[in-house]
Amino acid sequence: MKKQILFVDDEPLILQGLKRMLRGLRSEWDMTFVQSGAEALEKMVGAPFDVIVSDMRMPEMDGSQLLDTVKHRYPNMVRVVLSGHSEEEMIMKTVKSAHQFISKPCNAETLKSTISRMFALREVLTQEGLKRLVSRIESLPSLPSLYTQVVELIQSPNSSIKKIGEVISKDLAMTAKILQLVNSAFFGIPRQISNPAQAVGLLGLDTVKALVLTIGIFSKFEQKQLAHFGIETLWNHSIKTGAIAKKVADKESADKHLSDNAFMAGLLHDVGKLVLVANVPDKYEEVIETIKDQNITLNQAEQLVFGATHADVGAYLTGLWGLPDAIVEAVAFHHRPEICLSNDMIPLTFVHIADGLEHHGNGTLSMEAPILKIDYGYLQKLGWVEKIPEWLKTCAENKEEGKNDG
Amino acid sequence: MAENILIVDDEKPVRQLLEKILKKAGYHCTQAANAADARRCLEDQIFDLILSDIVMPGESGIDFIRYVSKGYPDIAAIMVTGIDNIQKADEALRAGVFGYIIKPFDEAQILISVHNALRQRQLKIENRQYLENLEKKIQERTDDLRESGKQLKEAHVKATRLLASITSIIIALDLEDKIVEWNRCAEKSFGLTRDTVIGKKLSECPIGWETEKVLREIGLCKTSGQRGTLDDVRLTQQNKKERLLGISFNPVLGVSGKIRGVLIYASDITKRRHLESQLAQALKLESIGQLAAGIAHEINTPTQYVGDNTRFLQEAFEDMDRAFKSYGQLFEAVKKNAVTDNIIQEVEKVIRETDLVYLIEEVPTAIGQTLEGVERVSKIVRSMKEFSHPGVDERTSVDINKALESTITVARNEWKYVADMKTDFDPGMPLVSCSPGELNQVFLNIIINAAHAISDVVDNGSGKKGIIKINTRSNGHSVEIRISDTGGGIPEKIQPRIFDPFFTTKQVGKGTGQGLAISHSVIVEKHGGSMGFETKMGKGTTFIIQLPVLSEGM
Ligand SMILES: Nc1ncnc2c1ncn2[C@@H]1O[C@H](COP(=O)(O)OP(=O)(O)OP(=O)(O)O)[C@@H](O)[C@H]1O
Ligand SMILES: [Fe+2]
Ligand SMILES: [Fe+2]
Ligand SMILES: [Mg+2]
Repeated sequence: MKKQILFVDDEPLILQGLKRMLRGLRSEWDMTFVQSGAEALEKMVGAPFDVIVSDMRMPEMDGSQLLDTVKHRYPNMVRVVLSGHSEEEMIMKTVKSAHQFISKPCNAETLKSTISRMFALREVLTQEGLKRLVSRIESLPSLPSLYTQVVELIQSPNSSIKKIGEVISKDLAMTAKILQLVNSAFFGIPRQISNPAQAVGLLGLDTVKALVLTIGIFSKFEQKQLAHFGIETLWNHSIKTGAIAKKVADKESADKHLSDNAFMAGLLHDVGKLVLVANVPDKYEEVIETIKDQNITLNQAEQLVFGATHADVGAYLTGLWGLPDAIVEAVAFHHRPEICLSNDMIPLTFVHIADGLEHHGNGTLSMEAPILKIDYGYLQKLGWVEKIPEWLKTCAENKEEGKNDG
Repeated sequence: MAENILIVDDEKPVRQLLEKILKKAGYHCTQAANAADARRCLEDQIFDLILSDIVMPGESGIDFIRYVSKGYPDIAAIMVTGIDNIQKADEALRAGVFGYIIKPFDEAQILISVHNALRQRQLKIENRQYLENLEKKIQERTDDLRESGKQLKEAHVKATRLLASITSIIIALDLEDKIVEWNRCAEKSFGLTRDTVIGKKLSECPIGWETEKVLREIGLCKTSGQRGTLDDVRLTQQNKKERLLGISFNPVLGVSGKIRGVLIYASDITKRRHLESQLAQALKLESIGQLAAGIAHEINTPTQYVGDNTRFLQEAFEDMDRAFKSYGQLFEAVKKNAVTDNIIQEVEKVIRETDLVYLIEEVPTAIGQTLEGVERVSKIVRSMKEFSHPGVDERTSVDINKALESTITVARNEWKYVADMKTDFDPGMPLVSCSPGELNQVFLNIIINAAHAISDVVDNGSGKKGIIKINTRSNGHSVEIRISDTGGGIPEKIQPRIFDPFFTTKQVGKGTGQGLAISHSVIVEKHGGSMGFETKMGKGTTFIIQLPVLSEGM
C-alpha cells in the first residue's frame, strides 16, 4: 500500500509548491494537502495517515494545537513540523508534540529524506501497540541523581556547557532527547551531531535552560523499582558499553566522528529496555520471569511477551526522534550485526563488540570460555577474531581505571 | 562607570538570575536577601538602582522602597514581583518606583526596564540640580538685597529684571496665600497678568492646573517649614495646550527665622518629557528588530515555494526532454516513412510515464508562482527600506498611501494570523510634508494595537479572523487616515489614559505603553496634526489621524 502523508499549511502556494516538488514520488506516496488544522482533522477521520507535516503558525488552530490533538487521537501518526518561524516560543511550543522539526526554507532532499526515513521506520516495528506507545513518548525518565545534577548545574551561575554536557552524556534519557533537538533542522544546525556537550553548546545555554526548567523536556525516573530489573544496572551497562565501544574504536584508529558515534550508540543501544521498563513495567517483569521459567534468552522472551525486542523498540524511538542514522542502525542491530552487509567499521561494529564484552565482562574471560554474545561470523568477515584477547585486555584496563576513579 | 544595582529578593535563584543578566550587560550588582540586609547595604555603598521583590519575609518591598525614596531620593527603584495586581502596582508607583516587572520575566524586559529607570533617574537628578542652581542664584540675589540697603533700588530693578528674564514660573505668596510676586513667565504660562493677580489668593485665580495638589503642598510647606516638590503637574493652558510642570515650594524665612511666605518655582518640563519620549522612540525604532523575526518568516515562505517550484521545473524539463526526444524519433521515422507500431507505442508510453499532459498544464503555473514569489520577496525588501526610512527627522514629501502600504507589508506577520487587511486609499492624496520614518512608526503602532485588540477577541471565543480597515481621504488642505479594527473596543474608564506614557493594559513583554504617547507627540507636536479615536465596546475601534498637507511652522 502507498504511504499516506498529509501536509498542512495556511499558505496555498506552499502546498502547491510541495505538491509539485514531491511529484516524483507520486507512485510511492499518497499525498494530501490541506489549508487548515480543522480541515486536517476532518481528513483524518476514517482515513488514517502515516505521517503529518504541519506548518506552525496558522490562523485559528495553530500547528502545536493540531499536533497535540493528533497525538491524542492518532498517536501512531508520525508528526513533523515544517515551519518558517525560528522564534523560541514556537520551538518551545512544539517540542513536546512533534517528533521532528524542519525549518523553512528547506531543500527537497531534506524533506524527502526525512519523510522517507519515517516510512522506512514503520517497518522496523510492526506491533501497532508498541508503535503507539513509543510515538506518545515526550521524554524518557532519567536516573534521579543525574537529573538533579543537571537541573542544579543549569541553575548555577557558574556552570559551564562542558560540565552540563558531561553529566548529560552519562544519562541515556537526556542524551537521547538532546540529540533529538539538535539533530532537527529546526535549529538550523547541520544534521548528525552525536556529542551532548557539542549539542548543548549549539543549542545555547539559555535555550537549554528554558527547555529544561520551563518546558520540562527531561524527567526523573519515578516508577516503582522492579523486583528483577535494576535501573542502575541498565545505566551502568549503558555507560560501560559506550566507554568500551569508544575505547575499541580508538584502538582500531577510527576517526573522531566515528568514535563519538560509537560512544553515543553504545550508551543508547539498550534504550528500548528503558522505554519498556518505564512504560509497561509489569510486562517487563513478565519478560524476566519468562526467561527463568522457560530458560530462554532475553530476546526470545521479549518476542514472546511483546512480539518485538528492545532493539526494535529502541530503533523505533531513535529513528522517530531523528537521531543520526548510524546510531539508529547500531541500536536496531546490536544483537545481529550480520544483517548489516557492510564490511566497514561503523558504530554498530563497536557497539556489538562492546555490548558482548560488557555483558560478559563481570566474569573472567578466556579464549577457552567462548564469548557467546559476540557474533564470530561477523568478526571473521572483518578479520578481527584475533583481536578479541587484546580488547579484553583493554576492557580490563578500563575496569581498573574505573576502580581507581572510585 | 558601571551603574551600581542592589538586588533585593528572598529567593536566591531569582537574585542570581538577575545578577547574571545585569552583569552581562555591564552593571555592577549587590544582592540582599531581605529589606534589613538591603538597608545595611545602603549604608555601605552608593547605589543607582534597586530591584526589589514585593513580598518578602520581614519588611515588605514597598515599605522598603518608601524608606529608600525618603532617605536616598537619588536611587531609582524597580519592583520585581510575582504578584500580578494592579493595586500593588499603584501602591508601588506611589512609593516612588520607576518600573514594575512581573515574574517570570525575560532578559530583554529586565534590561529595558533597568535602562529606562536609570535614564529617568538621570533626567530627574539633572532637573533637580538645575532647579537647585536656580534657587541658589535667586537666594544669593535675595540675600544681597536684604544685606545692602544702599543698593536696594538697583537691586530691586535687577531682581525684577531677573525675575522677568527667568524662564521658570516664580510666584511668591504670603502666609495667607496672597500673591505678592508673579513673574512674566507666570503671566505667559497662566495667561493672567501680574496686575490682576497681585494681592489675590492663589486659590481664587483661574489656573488650569491640579489646584488641590498644589494647595496641599503649599500648606505642607508652611506648616513644616521644609522644601517640597511636585513632579509632572498637569497644566491646561487657556489655548487648551497641555503642559507638564515640575514645581518646588520653598519656605521664605524672615529675619527671626519665622516663616513669612512661600516661594513657588515651576518649570515647564513638557519639552523634557518629549525628549524622553523621543529617546523612547529611538528605543522603539529598535523594535524593527522585533519585527525582524516576522519579516524573516514572510521571506521564508516565498523562498520555500520558489525553491520547490524550481525543483519541479528542473524535473519537468527532464521529463519534457525525454518526451521531446521520443517525438524526435517519431519525426525521423515519419520523414523516412518508416513509422512502426513500436515507435508509436514508445511515444505513447513516454507520454504516459512523464505525464506530459499534466506537465504542459502545470509548468506555466509553476513559473507564474515562482515569479510571484520572487516579486513577493522583493516587495518585502523594498518595504523594509521604505519603512525604516533613513534620517527619521528629515522632512520630505511623502506619499501617505505608499507609506501605509509598506508598513502593512513589514508588519504583515503581526496581523495576518488574526485579521484580514482591507484598504481603501484615496487615489488623489496629495504628498504630505512630514518625516516618513516617524509616521511609519505611528502607523505601525496603531496597526499592531489593532491586531492585538482583535487577537484578544479571537482568542476569547469566536476563533474567526477579524478585519483591519485602513482608509485615506483628502480635502486638499489636509489628509485623514482612519485605521479601524474589529476588536473589543476601549473601555470608557481607560479612554482618557491611553495616550499617557507608559499606560498599557497588555502583559509584560507585549506592550510598554509608549506607542500611543509617542504617536500622539509625533502627530500633534511634530506635525501639527490631530489624533483621536472612536470606539464602541464589542464592536471595535477607529483611530483617526489628520495631517495638514503643508505643516505650518516647521
Ligand atoms: N485598537 C485598540 N483597541 C483596544 N484598545 C486599544 C487599542 N489601541 C490601544 N488600546 C489601549 O491603549 C493602550 C495603550 O496603547 P499603546 O499603543 O500606547 O501601548 P501598548 O500597545 O500597550 O504598548 P506599546 O505600543 O508601547 O508596545 C493599550 O494597552 C490598550 O489598552
Ligand atoms: Fe541489548
Ligand atoms: Fe546491552
Ligand atoms: Mg501599541
